[in-house]
Amino acid sequence: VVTRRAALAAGLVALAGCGGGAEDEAPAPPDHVTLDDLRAREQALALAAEAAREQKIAVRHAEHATRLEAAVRRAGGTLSAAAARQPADLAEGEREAMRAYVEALPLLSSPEPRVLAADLLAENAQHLAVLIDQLPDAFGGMAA
Amino acid sequence: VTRRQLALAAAGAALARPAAALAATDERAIVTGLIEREQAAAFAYARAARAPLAAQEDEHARALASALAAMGLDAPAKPQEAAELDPAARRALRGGIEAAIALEDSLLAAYEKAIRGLEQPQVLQTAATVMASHAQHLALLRREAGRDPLA
Repeated sequence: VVTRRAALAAGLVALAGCGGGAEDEAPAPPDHVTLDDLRAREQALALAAEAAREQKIAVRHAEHATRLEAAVRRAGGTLSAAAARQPADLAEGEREAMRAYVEALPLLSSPEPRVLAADLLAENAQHLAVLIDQLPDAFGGMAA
Repeated sequence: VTRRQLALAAAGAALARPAAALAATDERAIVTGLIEREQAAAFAYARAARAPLAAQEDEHARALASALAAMGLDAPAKPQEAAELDPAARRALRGGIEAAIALEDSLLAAYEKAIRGLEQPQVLQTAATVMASHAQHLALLRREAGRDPLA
């Protein structure tokens, strides 16, 4: 039996403004555009983590940006010069980036970039848990 | 119409079955498998006196069950005894931080594999969100064990 609470939980992503209903929206952009947007976010997070003296997290974000850069090129794209906004609060920046990954997932056209996005989402979720030093909600801290 | 013609017609219909229908069947099987893993983890953590983790695994199972219901299937029954659990959950049930870390590692691997086969946007997003939660469990368990949470 699926309870009302379970239905609400499943809809959390959509309720949190994390996409869903892609079928009634404009066509998805090419993969390289979506991946490049995520890359710019990761670069901005690397800078924010350095500013917060969270060196390990800064290194991981720089690695994420490198992996996404390679994915952009594999998808036939080039890197944009546009920079993402550097978040003032690192934990909130992690949360925003996590939501961006969730939103991006259904836009990606094949399993490889989707798995990459899910892996990087998972690593950013770890950053959030470490930064706030507690167990976030059951949906990675994105239900709040 | 002969029996042979009927058989050929049936075979032709099966071959012409839309790829989307086959993909949907696969997707239901993937989500069912994830629910079973979550239910087993919830059972194990409850027995191992890790109530917050048990509660979250239960929430994951319910969210996935809702996605499965939208695809027209009921969730599998919850396990009633240890013998019904997957090996990683069975080990975690006995307690011990390393077994819990191994369980979360195996759940992360299961989600990564599942995401390769998911197509429906909301199912994909729910699975990725739950995968992120398991990554957090793993980091905090590593920290509890005195290890680098971001290793």
